[in-house]
Amino acid sequence: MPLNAVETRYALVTLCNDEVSPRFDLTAEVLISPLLPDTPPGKLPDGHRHLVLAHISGEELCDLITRSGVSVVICGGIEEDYFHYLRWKRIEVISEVMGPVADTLSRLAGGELKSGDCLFEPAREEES
Amino acid sequence: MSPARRFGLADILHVLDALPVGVMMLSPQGRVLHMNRALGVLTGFDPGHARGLPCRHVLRGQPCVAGCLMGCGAFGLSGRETWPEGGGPAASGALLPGKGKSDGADGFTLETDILTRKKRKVPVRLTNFPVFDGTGKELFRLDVLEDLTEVKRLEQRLHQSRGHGRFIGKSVAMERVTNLIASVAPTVAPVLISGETGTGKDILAETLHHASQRSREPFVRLSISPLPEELLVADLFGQSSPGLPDKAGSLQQAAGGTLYISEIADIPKEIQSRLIGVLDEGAILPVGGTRPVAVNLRLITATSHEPGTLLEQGMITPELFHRLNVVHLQLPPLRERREDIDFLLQHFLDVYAARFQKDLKGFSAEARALLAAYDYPGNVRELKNIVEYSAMVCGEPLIGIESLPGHLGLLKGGDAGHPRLPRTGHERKKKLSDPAKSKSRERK
Repeated sequence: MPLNAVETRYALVTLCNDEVSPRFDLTAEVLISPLLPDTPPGKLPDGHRHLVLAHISGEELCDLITRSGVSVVICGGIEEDYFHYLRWKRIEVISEVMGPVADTLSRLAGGELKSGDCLFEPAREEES
Repeated sequence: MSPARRFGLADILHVLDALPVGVMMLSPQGRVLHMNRALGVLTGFDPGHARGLPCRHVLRGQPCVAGCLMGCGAFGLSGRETWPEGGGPAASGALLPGKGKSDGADGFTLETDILTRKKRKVPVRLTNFPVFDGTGKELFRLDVLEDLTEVKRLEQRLHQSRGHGRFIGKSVAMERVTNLIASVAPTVAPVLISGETGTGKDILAETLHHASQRSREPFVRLSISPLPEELLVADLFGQSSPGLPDKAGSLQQAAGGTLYISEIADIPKEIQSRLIGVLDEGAILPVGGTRPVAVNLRLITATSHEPGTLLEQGMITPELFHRLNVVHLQLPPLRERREDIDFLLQHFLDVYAARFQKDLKGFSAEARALLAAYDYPGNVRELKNIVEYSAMVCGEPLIGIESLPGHLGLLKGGDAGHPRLPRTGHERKKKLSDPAKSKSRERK
């Protein structure tokens, strides 16, 4: 197999408006997106899609994640049970992420996103 | 000069840090200005790192995601808020908590849960109120969070002790038993539970344990299996062999708590006489041991036989029977409390609809009539299994007669609008064993 034929990886981000949802189990909408390193910062990659969940349920969300074939889940707070279940299913979980979803995906595509990252702009008091 | 004027911002924050409840100071836009130490411990966030973050990412309560009651409209804003212009609250005049004069809500209190950084859900009471300066301008808001974990645990225990846990029923017969639980549970008196199979003897025993002061101690259930008597004795009383570590038996495992023996009639006579010794002396002698071991436990036993029959047929010695039968709780079969059937059908339907994630509304009139007329020889356990099966196979909002288990379908007969089931076991067997006869009757 040629090196450039590597399968595209997909990430699922739990959403609350245009931010990463603070709570995994209360998420009503998700974004499934391919991980494309050449996406301009602040833009969503081509081929992304939004899904609105029929029910707000951590179990249903786990079910969706395992069925949709994503390799990475980005979320805010997540309960231990869901976290370990997804890890057991060999899905990478980057949790405790705070910030706008586009910035989060850019950072993930660049291989720089890690659990606990806060992508909100620094406070004005810190700048001054 | 008012007392508030004498304090600077640092003093206020120092006071907040000393409080035993979690307190968060928020900008009117819902950004963290300060978080006290207690809240840092509760949420797992470093107070320094939380400063400037939107509060919904720190508290992560249900309303934070579902729709913030503060109406701060912070979603979509970028950057972090800091203190309002003017250098903090102390510089702006008197601090007046209370009714809002600004755009935001007046304040609220609600019970919710938050998700900590340790990935744990914690029930809390959240009180939010705005603080104004002397001119009526909103300076900041305070979120006060009280950890309700212990309160919820106590509530759950009280709930169980009132018989509203897994032990349910609305009939007069069941109400009588439920009322007795509250009186019997706190004592150490042995309890004998009798009732047909599937009436809920095991659940009643567990309910008694959970409602007692021993609820934090072990609840050990012992089912007498067909083992050689020597092994049973070792299982129950433990084993002590020289040179080897002692093996604790069920009686020792239940120390401080409750030992529940699920069928007292299965206990061999030899063991029955040893149990008498345990009840009288509060001590056991492990197999191979030489020194008695003191045990403090409550004994709950159950039988599916009539207690009188146990004695008449010699299944239990009178000496043990009278020691165990201090409190006798009899669970009536479901056919003798038919008023519970409807309630139990709905209860289990709710349980299984949620488990199978189906939007089930109830049973059709025909199915309900069939289920109401049935005898339930397996009692509540059988009813529960019927509902589980029906909820599993049904694809409609209403469970119809076609979604009921096969044996109920076979038995449905009579007029199409009023299905009738054979009421007695004999009648039922007769009908099941001769389907050809019933078919020929239908043809006529």
